[in-house]
Amino acid sequence: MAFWDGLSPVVQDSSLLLALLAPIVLLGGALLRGYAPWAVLRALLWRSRVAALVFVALIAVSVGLGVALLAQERALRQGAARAADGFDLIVTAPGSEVTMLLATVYLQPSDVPLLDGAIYAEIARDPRVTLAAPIAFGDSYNGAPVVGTIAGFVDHLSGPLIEGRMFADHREAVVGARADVAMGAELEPAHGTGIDADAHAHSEEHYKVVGRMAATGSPWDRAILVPIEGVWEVHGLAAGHAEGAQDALGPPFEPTLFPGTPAILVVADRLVDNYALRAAFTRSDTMAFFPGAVIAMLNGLMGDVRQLMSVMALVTQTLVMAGVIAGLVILMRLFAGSLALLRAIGAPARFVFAVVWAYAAGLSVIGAALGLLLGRGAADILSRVISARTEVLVQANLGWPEVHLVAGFVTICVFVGLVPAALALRRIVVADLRA
Amino acid sequence: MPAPENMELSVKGLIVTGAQRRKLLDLPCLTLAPGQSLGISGPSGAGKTTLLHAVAGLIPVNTGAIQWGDTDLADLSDAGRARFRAAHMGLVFQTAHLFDELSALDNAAIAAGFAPKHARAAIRDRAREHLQKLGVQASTGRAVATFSGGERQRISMSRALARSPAILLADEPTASLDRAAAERLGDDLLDFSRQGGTLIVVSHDPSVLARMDTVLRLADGQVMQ
Ligand SMILES: Nc1ncnc2c1ncn2[C@@H]1O[C@H](COP(=O)(O)OP(=O)(O)O)[C@@H](O)[C@H]1O
Ligand SMILES: [Mg+2]
Repeated sequence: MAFWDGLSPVVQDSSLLLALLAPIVLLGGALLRGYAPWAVLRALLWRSRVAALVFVALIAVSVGLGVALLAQERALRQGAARAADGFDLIVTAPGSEVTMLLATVYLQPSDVPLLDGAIYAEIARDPRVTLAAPIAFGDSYNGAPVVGTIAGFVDHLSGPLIEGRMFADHREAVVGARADVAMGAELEPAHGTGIDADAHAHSEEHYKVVGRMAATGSPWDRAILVPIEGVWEVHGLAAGHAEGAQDALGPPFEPTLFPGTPAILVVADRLVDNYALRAAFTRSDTMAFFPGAVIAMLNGLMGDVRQLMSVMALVTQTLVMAGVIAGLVILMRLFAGSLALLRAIGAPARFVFAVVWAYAAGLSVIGAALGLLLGRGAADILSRVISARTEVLVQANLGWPEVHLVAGFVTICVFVGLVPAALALRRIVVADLRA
Repeated sequence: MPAPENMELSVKGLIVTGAQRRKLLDLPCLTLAPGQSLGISGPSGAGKTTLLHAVAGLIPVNTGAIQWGDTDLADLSDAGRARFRAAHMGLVFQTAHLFDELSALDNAAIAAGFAPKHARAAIRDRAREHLQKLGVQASTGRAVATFSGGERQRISMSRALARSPAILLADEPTASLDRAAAERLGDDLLDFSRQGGTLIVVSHDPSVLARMDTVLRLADGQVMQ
């Protein structure tokens, strides 16, 4: 076991695949050695082409379903985790971590209480903190979230902009990579989001798009990021800066003139500091959480569902396999005359056995291979739909778990294929010859 | 060409019983020298096919003995009898059981699939040779599904001869053929016999039976004299 654990994952995965496929190769080799059953197989396949196609399709669909589910589920988890990259530690008013996670990381609209200027100042002042970015969501433009923040957050999330420049004025905006607004466009934000958004709430206020962020694979790619001062002003609130410096942009803010923010992203350089900060801001008036940890917890809760899915996929495949085997046994009647002829003219029992087995194994292998492709395609389509619906970039790829599942399934099929082969040998040759 | 083996057929006290112990065949004694031909006739249900199956080792023999030369079929296992048929016998069945999906050549050479690798090419060569000799177009890859009854019997015959057997067993090979085709197939059978093969043909056809060295008449599983 120590040896196995010491191997690299790729070596482990490919060894497992080989171990799963080895029985097929060994069995096939043992049964077919010294024979050339291809003409007979070709004839039987053609004779039963409709049934064979149905079997292959059944196997392909059931395998494809399992593969797609597995790949999709993993992609979803990876996508959700990737979308939370960069959101190290979030501080909000006390409440539900899941709600805050959805609102902050995935920009799902929700009404949440605000943190005041004193708390922001306390966080920003902390020597362990390298970035304390307010995240003021709640407004929208054409259904896309308009979020007030500071330039440091844009840098943190996007890195270098792919177009234009950083906002330098309360009325400028930087948009996400996939936001449906052009550079230089003037936007009129609405208060609230979705169908309840009040389009005329801020009728006199406009933002001008001056930059575009790199893609992050998260809902932030559709967001419009503006200086938080702009959001406050649009709502007729103080703009965070003392008289005489009203046009200033970004921190430090004047705590008494800080109207509030629903969430603050906190970034610290050292991991231990992250934990210390979480501890420090978990108190009666604030809540601090790691989005990654909340996602992990949710994944843990989903673990049972995942297992259920796997079991269901397996049950489906087993049922399909049972159906196919039953079908094969019935099909043997279609082959009975030919197989009896072969045995009558002196074909060894192993030859006839190998022919029937190769027929069943061939259908399983072809069906499973098609299923792998089908599953890949289905997962691709599902990914696109989910990506479009949730704005979380989900990219399903075939991974080792799917390959192992299919290899295991094929191996089982190939062994079950011994059943019709054995039944074919039990038929009475002279009776089938007379038929 | 038939192998120059001592393949004398010797059947003694053979009794074949079917369902409910019904006696299908009772053959006290039958011998057939190598290179001899034997015709078997009799009404439908007389046990002709049963006799052919028995001497081919296709049905287990409980009572009596069937010997081909020094080989007693009862001493052989299923696999041993299959090997014996593969090595020494050509069989033409009442129903040809051709692979309709394959060409005439693939059908005639079907035994190549389970023959030792070194023997495969020879089987195909002889299959082609016999098809040509029997007047079946072997060059086309056309599936045999659409071939006429006569052609199918000839393919079946080529299949039986492709391994150069010493023994040829044919069950009503001319049954579904017209006069001319039956005549030609009769010639082919006689050719095999003339070249030293041991031949047993089940037939209702007087012209075929007339050309056999001996004719055995069966009725109700018994030999008629
Ligand atoms: N597999 C079988 N099923 C039904 N009847 C059989 C079978 N084998 C032999 N018989 C019976 O055996 C007898 C001899 O049959 P068979 O040898 O085919 O006669 P023939 O070839 O002379 O027409 C018949 O009564 C037939 O009904
Ligand atoms: Mg008969």
